[in-house]
Amino acid sequence: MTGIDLISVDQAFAWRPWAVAYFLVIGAAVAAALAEEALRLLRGPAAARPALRVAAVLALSAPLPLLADLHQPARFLNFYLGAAPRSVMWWGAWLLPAFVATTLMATVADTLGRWAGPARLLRLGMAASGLGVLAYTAGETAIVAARPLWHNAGFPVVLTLTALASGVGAVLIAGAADRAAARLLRMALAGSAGAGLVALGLWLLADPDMARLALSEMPVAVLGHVAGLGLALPALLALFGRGAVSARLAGAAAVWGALAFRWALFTGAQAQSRVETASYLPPALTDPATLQSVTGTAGMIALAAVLVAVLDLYLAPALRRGPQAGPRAGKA
Amino acid sequence: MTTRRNFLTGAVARESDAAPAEAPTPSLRRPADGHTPRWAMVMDLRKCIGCQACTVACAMENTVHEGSYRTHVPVYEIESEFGPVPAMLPRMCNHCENPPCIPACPVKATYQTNDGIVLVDQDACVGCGYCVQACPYEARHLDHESGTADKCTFCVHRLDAGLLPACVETCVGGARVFGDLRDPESAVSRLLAEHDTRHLKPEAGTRPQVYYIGLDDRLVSEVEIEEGARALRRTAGPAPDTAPDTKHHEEA
Repeated sequence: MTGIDLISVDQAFAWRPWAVAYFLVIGAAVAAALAEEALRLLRGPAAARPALRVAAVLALSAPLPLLADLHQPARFLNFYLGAAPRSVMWWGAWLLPAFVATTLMATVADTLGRWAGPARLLRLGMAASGLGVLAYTAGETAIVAARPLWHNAGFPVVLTLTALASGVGAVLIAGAADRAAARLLRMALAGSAGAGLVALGLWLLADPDMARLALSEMPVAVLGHVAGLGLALPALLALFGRGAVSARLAGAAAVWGALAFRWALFTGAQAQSRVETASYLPPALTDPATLQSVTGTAGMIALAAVLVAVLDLYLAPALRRGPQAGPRAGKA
Repeated sequence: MTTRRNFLTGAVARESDAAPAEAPTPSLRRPADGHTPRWAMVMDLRKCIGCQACTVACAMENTVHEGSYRTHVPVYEIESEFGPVPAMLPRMCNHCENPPCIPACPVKATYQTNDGIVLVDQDACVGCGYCVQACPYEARHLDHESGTADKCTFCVHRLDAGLLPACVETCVGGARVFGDLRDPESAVSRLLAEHDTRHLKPEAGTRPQVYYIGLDDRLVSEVEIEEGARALRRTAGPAPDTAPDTKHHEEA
C-alpha cells in the first residue's frame, strides 16, 4: 500500500447500461441466425423457421441500444463518411447493418416462400456477417489494453460462448418447430453453456493474476451467479430436462447468464480505476440509466416481435395470395 | 528561473530576429526558423503544492463542465522516512507519441497534429466513448453537455494566439513547464537534459510527452491507495455545491 487519496476525482462510465443490452441482443441475434443455418442444414427449412424469426426480432432490436449508447446518436452517419480501418468499431459499423439487413431480407424471403436462389445468398450473407459481428464485438473489447479484464485471451472466448448460449436459449424460449429440432437446440445449448463454463473457469483460475483481477473488479457472488445460474444450470437443464417447460427454463437461464456476464464484465471493468487501485461506483440496478436501458430494449424487442408476427401472420399470406388470385380472377 | 517567461521571451525574440520588417506572427506553433515543434510539458513535482490553480484555470479557460476535468492534481498521503507526507501528481492528457486513443476512434475524430498535440474534432465525434476506454491515463471523458469526447488540448487556441497553456500560465510555483522538444534551447529541453525525468505508465508503451521531475516510484504506474477522500465522499453523499436545491438557487 502506498497511501491514501486526499484529493481525487471519479471518472464517469463511458459505456452505459445500454451497451450491456446491445452486446446481449446482438450476440443472441447472431447465435439465433447461426442456429437457423444449422437447423436448416440438418432438419430442413420448417425446423429452422422459428430460429430465423427470433434472429429477425433480435436483429431488428439491436441497433436501438447501440444508438442509445452513443452520446451523439444523431451523428451515426459519421461512421460511413470516412474510412477508419484501424478501428474495430468502424468495421462493426459496417458489419452490423449488413447482418441486420441480410437477416431481415432472408426472413421476408422465407416468409413469402419466394426467391429461393437469392434467399440462399441472403442466408449466406447473414451467417458471414453474423460471424463478423461476433468477431468484432469480442475484438473491440479484447484489444483495449487499458482494460486488463477485457484485454486477455479468455474474455472474448467466454463472451462469444455466452452469446451462442443466449441465442440458442432465445430460440428455445420462442419454441422449437418440432421435437427433433428441440433436441438439437438443447444439445447446442448444453455444448455452448458447458464450454462457456469451462472457458470461464480456465480463464479465471488458470492464471492467478487474472483471478485476482477478476475478484478485485467483480464480486464473487456475481461470478458465482454467472457460473451457476447462467452457465451450469442451462447446461444441466438442456442435458437432463424433458419437455417444453424445462427447455424454456434452460433458455431463460442462458439469456440471464449472458446478461449477467456482460453486466459484470462491462460495469466491473469500467468501475476499476486505471490509475489507482480504487474503484468507482457502478450503476445500480435501480438507476434511471439502467431502468431506461432495460425498458427501452425490452420495448424494442416487443415491438420487433409484433412487426415480425404481423409480417408472418398477415402480410405474407396476403402477399402470397395476391399473384395467385390474379390469374384465377382473370379466368373467371 | 521563471520558465514560462523565458519561453515567451525566447519565442518573441526569435520571431523578431527572423523577420524584423514584418509584423511577427503571434502563433507559437509557427517558429521563425520554420521547424515543426514537438510540444511537451514537464511537471516539476518539487515545486507543485497541490493548490489546484491549474485545475481551475483549465476549467475556466476551456469551459470544462462541472464534474469533469481536463487536468487535475490528485493529492496522496504517502509514507516517507519522516512520516506521512503529501504527494502531488498533476494529471492530464499525455499527448503520447503512440496514442492508443487515435486508432480506437471509428470516425477519425481524434487525431494528432504535426506538432504532436492530440485533439478531438468536436463536430465529428459521435460520443461512442471508445477512446475513453482506450486511454490508460483516464485523461479523457465524455462531456455531459456536448456528448463528445473531451480532453486537454495543450490549450492549442492559446498557442495559436502566442500564449502558453492556461495551466502553465497560472501555476504559481512554476511547476508546469511547457515547450518545444525540438528546440534545444527551450525550457523543457533544458529541463530534460538537466534532470532525471520520468513519465507515467511506461509499461503501456504509449511514449507520453508529459514528463515528471521528482516522481516517486510508487506513483509511476497504478497508485496503490487505501480508502481516503473517495471513501469519505461516498459515505457523506453528494457535496453541497452539487445538491439540486443549490443548483436551483444558482439558476434562479
